Amino acid sequence: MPAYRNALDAVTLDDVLALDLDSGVAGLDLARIAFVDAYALTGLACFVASAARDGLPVRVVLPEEPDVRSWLSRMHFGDALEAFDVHVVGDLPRVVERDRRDALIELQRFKDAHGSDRLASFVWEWLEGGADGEVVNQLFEATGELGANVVEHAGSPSGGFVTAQRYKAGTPDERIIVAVGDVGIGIRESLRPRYGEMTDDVAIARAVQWNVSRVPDKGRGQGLPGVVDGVRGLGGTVWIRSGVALRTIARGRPTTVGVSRLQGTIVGARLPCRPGR
Amino acid sequence: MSTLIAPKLVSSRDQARELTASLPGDLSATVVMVDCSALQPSTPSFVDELVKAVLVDRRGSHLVIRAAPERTVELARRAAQNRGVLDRLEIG
Repeated sequence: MPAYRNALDAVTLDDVLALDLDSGVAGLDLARIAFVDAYALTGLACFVASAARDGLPVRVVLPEEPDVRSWLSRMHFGDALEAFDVHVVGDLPRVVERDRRDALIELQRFKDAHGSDRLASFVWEWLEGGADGEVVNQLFEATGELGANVVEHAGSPSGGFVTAQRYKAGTPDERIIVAVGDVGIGIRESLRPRYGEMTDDVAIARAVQWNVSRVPDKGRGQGLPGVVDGVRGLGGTVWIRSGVALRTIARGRPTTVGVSRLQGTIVGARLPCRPGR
Repeated sequence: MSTLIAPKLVSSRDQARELTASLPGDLSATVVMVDCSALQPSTPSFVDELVKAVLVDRRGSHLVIRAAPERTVELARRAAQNRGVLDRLEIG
């Protein structure tokens, strides 16, 4: 049995994604997973949607840990599995959906600018009063810009996915993760017509620079750099995964690692609720 | 002068286009004021599209951003600078 890490996040997500080219089956083995964060959940949905788009059968082994299955059910992961006709090993339990609007935004899909606007507003109203004002505004800005990028640039037939969750509520480490993903053309292909051939890691590095955009228009190229700048300025972290590269940007030097190919782009932001305290 | 009222939350370029859709195509003799007193957060995309729609596409005489949050003012100045129309942007 593979030695999976217990916690699934932006960096460890790759551990559970499997594409068997011989059998042509896409697999997610979550059996030994003990925790899934909001970024990873968005990534799981993107993986399933991407495989379905390519006409591949998808097999998902659900976690053995009951609490994780309950959490996945509460986060509406089952809706994604159902929407893409996935073969599921194990059951997601029915959970009573107590009002957890203070703690999470379930996995949701959006397909157009209206949907992206609605989610950004939802995030703002969800967080208002529950974090410093600049954090709330930054996460609104991030959700709005990342959602708009999906709608305008990604060419994602499944639209986009959004998930958010607040962690360690009431503690000094209280923080929020918001993630937006799609199964579109990816950053490299989006920039290629204007900037030429490049690798995925170079494309990501380029996309976070000011004034870099697929669209040749002077005012473009402010969204993603603004998200990175704003989140980093508040002591947060941004993860950008596209193609075969994952870039992590926080204070200090950004790092890029190679990952398995995942169609599209997933961008996540983690912010402390009360930076500087 | 034409006055537009920005809603509480604005994010996409589509929302900026909707906000300015009622304006005539030629604003070269018109000052456009956007009342942002109800506005909370905005995004770079929304603000850039607003500047573009009024000062670039319709060649507005001036765009006045009134009672906007500090961040929105910063975004408006950056957008106007990027598009070479900073001299026609006023912060009220």
